[in-house]
Amino acid sequence: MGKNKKMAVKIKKEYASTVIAFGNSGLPLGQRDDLSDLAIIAHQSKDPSLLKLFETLPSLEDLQREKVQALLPVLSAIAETKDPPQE
Amino acid sequence: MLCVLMQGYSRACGGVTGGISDIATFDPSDFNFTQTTATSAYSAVALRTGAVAADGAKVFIINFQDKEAEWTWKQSKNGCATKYEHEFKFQLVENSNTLTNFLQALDAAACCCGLGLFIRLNSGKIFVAGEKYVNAASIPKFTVAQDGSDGTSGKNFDDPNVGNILLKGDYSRNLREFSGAWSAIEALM
Repeated sequence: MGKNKKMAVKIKKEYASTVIAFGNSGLPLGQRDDLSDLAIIAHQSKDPSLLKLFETLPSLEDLQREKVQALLPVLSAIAETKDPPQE
Repeated sequence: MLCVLMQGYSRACGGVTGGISDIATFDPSDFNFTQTTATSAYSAVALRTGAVAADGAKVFIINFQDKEAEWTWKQSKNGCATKYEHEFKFQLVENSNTLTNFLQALDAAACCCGLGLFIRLNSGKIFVAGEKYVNAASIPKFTVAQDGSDGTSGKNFDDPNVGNILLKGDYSRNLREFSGAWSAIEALM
């Protein structure tokens, strides 16, 4: 889930084959579809070895906002199933 | 709060499984762990600059005898000084030249650099021991080394022919988790 095309998280070309073990996969960075998660980790940790991987790195606020926005339809669907309309 | 900031301990209600599923070892100088806060689990791990997988900078799986591995820890204090003694025990089947070479590799690591360990419990949680670099900076040394292994050929046909490996390491805290999946670590093997 989360193609995250809106957020311009881009890895530098020279790191496309680099493997960073995070989340559920160890695919090379050029093949990952969860780079936003790595971007959030990089921001929160301020780990220079991760920060250097990114050509474009949106702000932490933007990344977290997009993560929440992706979940909103799911949360709404759950809420509707749980609580039938009242009043 | 007047003296110390306490905290509680709670977990979601439910059963938990014991035992160890997998153990893997690595050279602590090869890998950097990423931690988002001072108390969080490690969320990423990657090769450090200069460490090349093709030259041996990898994570190595240890195929131990099923249901014969255990991690134990014991906390003690001396005044305000606290120590956590960690022990990692696992049984390797068959005394052989391969086992001899593996034990020598453990001894060499202990002398020079320490051993790094990933331990996946049957509960699913993954722990890290012996790590050296966090957020691209070295942390106080956590040296895990072989200390007290033994073995036996057995006497009878149906006696175990095994090595009982014992790794030990003292540190200032319990082990940190790695919050990623084991499949992510397998990519480093």
